[in-house]
Amino acid sequence: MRLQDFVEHPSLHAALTGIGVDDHHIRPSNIETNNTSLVVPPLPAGPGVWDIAVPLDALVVVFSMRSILTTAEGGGKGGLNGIATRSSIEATTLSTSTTLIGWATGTYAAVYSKPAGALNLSHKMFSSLGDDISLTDAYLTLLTPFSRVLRLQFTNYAAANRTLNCWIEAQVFG
Amino acid sequence: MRLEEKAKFVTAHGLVVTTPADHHPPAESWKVICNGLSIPPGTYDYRVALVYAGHQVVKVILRATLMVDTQGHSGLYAVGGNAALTSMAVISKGVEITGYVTSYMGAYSRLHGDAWLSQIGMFGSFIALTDLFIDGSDVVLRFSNVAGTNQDLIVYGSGVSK
Repeated sequence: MRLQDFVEHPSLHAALTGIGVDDHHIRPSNIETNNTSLVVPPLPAGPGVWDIAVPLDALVVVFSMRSILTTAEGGGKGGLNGIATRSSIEATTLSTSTTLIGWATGTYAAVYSKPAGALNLSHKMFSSLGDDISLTDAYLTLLTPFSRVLRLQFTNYAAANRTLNCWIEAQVFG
Repeated sequence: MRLEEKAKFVTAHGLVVTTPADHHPPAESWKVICNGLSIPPGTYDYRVALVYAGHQVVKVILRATLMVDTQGHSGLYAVGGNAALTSMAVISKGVEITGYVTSYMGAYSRLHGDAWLSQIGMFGSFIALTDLFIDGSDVVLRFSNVAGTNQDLIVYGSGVSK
């Protein structure tokens, strides 16, 4: 880049001289997408992987997901709120789902935490049948030296292939 | 500051790989207090004016006045972006429905095509949250009154945008 380009850039921003290195972080971004086609094989096959592109410098992502699993009251759907970082052992989620035991027992919430050693990050609610597939891992990883993704891994606990079915809103904090 | 000093400063901070958009405004937090605002049938935009424009993400936790069986109030957690119809909400605790033992929970996604982000009646009789997004330097909490007459909007909460 030419010298004058260097100088032109800060002139666009008032008070640049008061900004430190850490202030030049990436802009937050909001990503909405869905996946209704990923075929996840049953265990003992490996998890189904869904990569969602995020900015290369992303450090923290919060995300919400919606399934098609109907909860017991009112027709709402199962879903979760979660936090993911570049570490695969830091993700934590809060899920809302149904007990599947009986109508009267209804809905409930549960928290899953990788720091606590949780096997999964959700109930089994993300298949096209509304059951069988759990979110197992969520973390940020490099695909190439120039691209980073939010990697979501899903485990199919059924005896046959299942198709993923979920909607996500992921927000890159920085 | 001399020209070469400016250039040195910029280089030292790695600005060469950033754009003006990277110098985004700081995060803001705000509260929602609406105790009985009469709104007409149809949609009503409750706007929160931000200090800065250019925010990209918004999150709110909204509380209704309906009691749930653990003596708390019903409410939800919702997230949105800088465009309508992309928001999502996960109800952390809904209202107990008479006749059933349990309380209500559910996830809603406007991206998925859900019409609502909450139960109808959660934020006043016949009133539901239907969308959440950033519009310029405003946060918009879009409610819908599905009754044929004016209804009182009742909602409290906190939000953050960045």
